[in-house]
Amino acid sequence: MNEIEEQAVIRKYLLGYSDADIAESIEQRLVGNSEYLQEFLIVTDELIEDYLDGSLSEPDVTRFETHFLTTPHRHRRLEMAKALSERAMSDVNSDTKTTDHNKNVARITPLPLPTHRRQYWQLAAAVTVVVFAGLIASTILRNRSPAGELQAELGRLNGPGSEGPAGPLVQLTIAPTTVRGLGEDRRVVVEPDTQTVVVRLVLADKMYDSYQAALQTVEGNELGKTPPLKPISGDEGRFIEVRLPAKRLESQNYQIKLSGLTAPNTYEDVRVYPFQIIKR
Amino acid sequence: MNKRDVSPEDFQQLLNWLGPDPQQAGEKYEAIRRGLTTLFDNWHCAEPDLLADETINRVIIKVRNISANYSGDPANYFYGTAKNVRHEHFRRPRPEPLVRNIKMTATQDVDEKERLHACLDKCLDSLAAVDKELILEYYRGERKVKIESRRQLGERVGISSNALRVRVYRLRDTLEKCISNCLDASGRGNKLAKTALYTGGSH
Repeated sequence: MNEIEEQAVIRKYLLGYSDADIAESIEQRLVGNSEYLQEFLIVTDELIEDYLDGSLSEPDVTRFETHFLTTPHRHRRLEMAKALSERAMSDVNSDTKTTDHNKNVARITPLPLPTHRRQYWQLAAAVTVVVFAGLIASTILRNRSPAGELQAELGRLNGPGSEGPAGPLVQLTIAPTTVRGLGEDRRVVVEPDTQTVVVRLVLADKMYDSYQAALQTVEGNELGKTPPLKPISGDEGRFIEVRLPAKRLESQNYQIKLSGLTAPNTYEDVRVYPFQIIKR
Repeated sequence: MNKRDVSPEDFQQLLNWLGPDPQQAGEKYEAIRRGLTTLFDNWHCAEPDLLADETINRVIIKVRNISANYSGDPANYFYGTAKNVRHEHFRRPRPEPLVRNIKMTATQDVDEKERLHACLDKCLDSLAAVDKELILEYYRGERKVKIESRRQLGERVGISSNALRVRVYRLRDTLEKCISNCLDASGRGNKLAKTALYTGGSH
């Protein structure tokens, strides 16, 4: 077995793909064979680096997170690797706040809102607060549960006439790939000051005049729905833009189920777009 | 049996079993301990160091009786003992996690992140200048250009790509130990210890 094959065997073991005999053989060599142990630890570091770079396949990412990343020690190694990588990149581009060399982060484009738009929104929000204070208060009371608050914010952020979110936001574009694991990056890193996560769902197949997006857990449990959304044309083709309130999201996997309007108040399922939120 | 029960004589007996040359026996002991720690980590045990020590202590108890007639690599005996320790570890009741998502909380904490970066900077500065530049250069660049840039880095340093991997690994190892000590000193060690307790290791 050459070096490359040996490294592949270790990777499979680390991700939990190895059968019992191979696992036993690896484990036996780890104890007492210092050269093999060193190679094993190097491959472990490289696996962590590939995860941070976003170069693992989708199934391997899942394995990494569910099988490999299971101990505090490994969490610490991941954090250290990430810090080292960020430190190395900060020497190259000290103006870049985020690690834009990192594929997992590279697709997420911070969108600074134009100043005049932000001022307009702040003014509009102030007027709204004054005029509809009673209405808002009653809405808040009705929607005091986390699910109710999420639903209310989805309505506010995506409703007709919405000027868009204020404050820092991140954007994730999800293409309508039908095969999983094609290198599609569906993760979005949410920094503590991020207020809105903008998810662009690129459309394919049949087009509808209006859509509705339902935010769900990966098990399909619905967390909230947007008001009707119109498709937008952009460089990526036609897409639906869904704005999510960052503070209502947790570090976990979600999916957005998109439905198309076929008749008044009648929607049919179009596609499910999975993605992952990573909160810092 | 705990660590206090192991006398210097017992430990010396273990080293004698591992090899006639004291230095080589010491190195073998270190390799075995590190291998055991890695093993328990692979087995999803939350406290791999403690279990590695427990394994070693059990072997020390037996070594007086087995060393004379044992044939083969002593490391195999450690491995067999480690499997028993793992088996018992997972049969042992563990405290119910008080905060199930504490590990996420720990990694999300901005202060923790800042502390980690401060320790990293401190530890990078403790390396020789050439080593610091080497490791930063190694991790620099986009994924797609890393392979080529690392090959060029190896050429500049005058070593093969594989030798570069090993050299960077050793630097990283040094850095990680330094950072762990730094974080522990600044209070993070306690938080991670809590994480270990709460997550309890998974099967």
